[in-house]
Amino acid sequence: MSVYDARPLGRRAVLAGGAALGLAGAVGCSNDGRGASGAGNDEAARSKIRPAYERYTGVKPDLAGAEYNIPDAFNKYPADPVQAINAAPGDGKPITVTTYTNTPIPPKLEQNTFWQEFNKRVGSPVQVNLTPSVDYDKKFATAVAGDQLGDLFVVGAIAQTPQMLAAKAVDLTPHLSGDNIKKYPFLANLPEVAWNSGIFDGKIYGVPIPRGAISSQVMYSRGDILAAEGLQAGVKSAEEFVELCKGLTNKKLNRFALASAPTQFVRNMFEIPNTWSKDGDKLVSNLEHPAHEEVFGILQKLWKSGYIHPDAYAGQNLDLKTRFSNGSSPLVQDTFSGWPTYLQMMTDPKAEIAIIAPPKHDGSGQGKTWLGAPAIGVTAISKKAEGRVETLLAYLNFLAAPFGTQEYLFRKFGLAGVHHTMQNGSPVLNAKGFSETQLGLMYQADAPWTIFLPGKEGSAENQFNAMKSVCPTALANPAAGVYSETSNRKNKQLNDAINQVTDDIVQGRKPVSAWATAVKKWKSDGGDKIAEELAQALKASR
Amino acid sequence: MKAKPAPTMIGGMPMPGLTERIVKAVFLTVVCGVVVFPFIGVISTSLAPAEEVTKAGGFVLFPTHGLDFTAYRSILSGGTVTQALLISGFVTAVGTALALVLTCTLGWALSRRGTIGNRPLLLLVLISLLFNPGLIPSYLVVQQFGLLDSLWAVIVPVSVSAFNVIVVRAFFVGLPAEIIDAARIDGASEWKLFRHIGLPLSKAVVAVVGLFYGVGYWNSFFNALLYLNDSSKWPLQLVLRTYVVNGVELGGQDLGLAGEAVPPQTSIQMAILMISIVPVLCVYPFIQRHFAKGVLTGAVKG
Repeated sequence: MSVYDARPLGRRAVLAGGAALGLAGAVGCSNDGRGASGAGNDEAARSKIRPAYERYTGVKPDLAGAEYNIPDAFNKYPADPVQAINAAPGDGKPITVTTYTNTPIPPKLEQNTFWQEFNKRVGSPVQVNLTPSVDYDKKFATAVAGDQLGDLFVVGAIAQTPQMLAAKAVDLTPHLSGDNIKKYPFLANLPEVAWNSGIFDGKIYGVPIPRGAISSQVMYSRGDILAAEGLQAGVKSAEEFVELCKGLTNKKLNRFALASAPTQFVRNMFEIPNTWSKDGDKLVSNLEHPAHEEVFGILQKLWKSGYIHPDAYAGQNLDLKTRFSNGSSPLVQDTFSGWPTYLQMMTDPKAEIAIIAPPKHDGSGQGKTWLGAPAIGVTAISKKAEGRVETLLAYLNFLAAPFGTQEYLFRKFGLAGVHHTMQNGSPVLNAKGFSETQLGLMYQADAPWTIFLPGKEGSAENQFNAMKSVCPTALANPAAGVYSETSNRKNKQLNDAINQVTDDIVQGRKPVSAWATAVKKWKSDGGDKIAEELAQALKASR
Repeated sequence: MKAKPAPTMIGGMPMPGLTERIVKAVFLTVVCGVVVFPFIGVISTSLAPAEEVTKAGGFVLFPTHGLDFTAYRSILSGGTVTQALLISGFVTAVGTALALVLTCTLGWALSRRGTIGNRPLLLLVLISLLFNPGLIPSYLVVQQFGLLDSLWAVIVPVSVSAFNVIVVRAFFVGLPAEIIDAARIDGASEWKLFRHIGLPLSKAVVAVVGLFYGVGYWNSFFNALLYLNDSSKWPLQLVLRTYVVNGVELGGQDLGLAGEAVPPQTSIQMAILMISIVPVLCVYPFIQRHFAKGVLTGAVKG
């Protein structure tokens, strides 16, 4: 397995969510008549289709992130959480859901008090059909073929997604477009850009599961180790970063500065675009950026000097976290969402987590991080459940109730005293709560992300400030959420090839000059076609 | 004076010289070490406290800070895994029994020259060895038989393995024709020939094939993943898989499980390995002697 497979929100997650990039507001990129499929191609029609955004203001955050384009942060759970939804969304009939999970499956309904209470609050017995995330695409493909999808289903990566949705899913446009969405206030509270993933051929087919800035990859550092070595986290240039790595590497202590090759971080120093950049109406892949040779120069130097852990290319995602936590690699590149896991894994009570913002390579300011994908997936409603659309949307609305409400508290933390205990005003799950609440709810619909780290004083503020330091200037992928059939079919294969070359160059098995050849091959094998399809889809959607 | 007879080993082979014996001993010790140490590592890591595992960088050879059963406790709490163990036991037992009946009867039929349709049937079996129907067609067939969400969906589709049929058939073909002819002269029917002559003479190969099927059923998770929607019917391996893939994207930890330290993934993974391997280890010694014999017999006669 290459390290890329193991990175959170790497290619895998993007593909698995399928929807994340896969689905998308691609007007007319289907095989039947690209760009000519009528509705939604002109600005006026489209703006009517896009759901209105109405921010939920019922709960005041301790630290408001909206103006920095980052999540709100809370130090405590609001003492008297508001009840945001008065009527149970369900209609008494069972709701079946096909989705994936990243956690152990919950105990069955009869032994699961959370699930029983959840059904009561929903007003319908909810049957979840969970699949481990890594296997979801296969399960999804067979479920589509066998017409076994649940009333609600997360769209997996599948060829010809738009056609599949047209055949299997309910067109939600009449219910969600424009101001219609206000009937479901918490779906209206989902970030505007996340809806890209759910709009197809000018129709809304899915409700996005939002993530965004929280899944941006950044450089974590162990503040305590840096301080002990007398080093400064605030590096000003590529050179200083290499110096920092040198200072942190200590062969006698078996310590290597970096847990893995900091490819993205170095690219950030050169302000290489996030996946695609716009050139007029065209899209240009970041692989073609001229700075790559310099990027590889730095990466090769880091590897050759032994500043990168020698197992960087052999291990799993988990190994990176372990190396960072036990201090054998005080620098690791990971997503913001990994923060709580790192807090938990620290064995040293004095351990400190800090983020190193990428500097510009030549020392002329701050580099640019890549913003995470706005959504990790979209949930669609099966055509077989067409008569119950309003109930099912109300159910998704219920699942999207934001932080600070009673609904959120119950959804994530269960019942007080049974599934969680209040510590310093914050709910902390117990073992029973942890196992019973894993119904895959966060992979059906979710509220916008919130920074909340109960039981760790000051951590929420640390993470908030860290995000504030890099996210406002972060580069978004202009084609995020846009659908391309070629990309859907070939992206994995193309990425595998290019990642292999990247690894070979960094480890010195191939010269830097091999990059240009690899990019050329990438373009002719499908990269150019993807760029073209995405650009057309983008153009058609504006 | 008579020369002392050279020392011999059991069976009469001359005892090798000292150097040779030392070299062999060292070699075998190294080989054993290579096999045994990772296993000890697995056991130790599954029992080591969280901090120690993280400090050691993922693997612990000998826990020095006492034993910690958190990993096992967190897997076995909630009853999901215990129930999955029962289901896996059922699937393995019923599946293996069914598979053996089908494979042996089919193998016997194919081994009898002159059975109607012998050749085309054999060809059919061989074709299934070469060509895989693929994911979706298999799924549709299972669905059309109404097996979805039933444990039979995990048992029936894999109950005849062409490879095993060929092995069993080869064994039956190799049985001495005289015995079968003699029985037939005594008036035995085909069924009696199979039941009283063929099977008793083929215990070794049945044991081997049974082990193949048994381990296959025990380890399989993919069919269950496709065919069983209700996770309370999942077999052990699939339930355990949800523990291993845990944390690929956004794990459960991001819900703020701060007060309660979740055991590190590695120790959970190792505990999972132990749980899934122990039942097989318990059964293996009883079948092993047939296994060694069976493979050899198959090799010579097949």
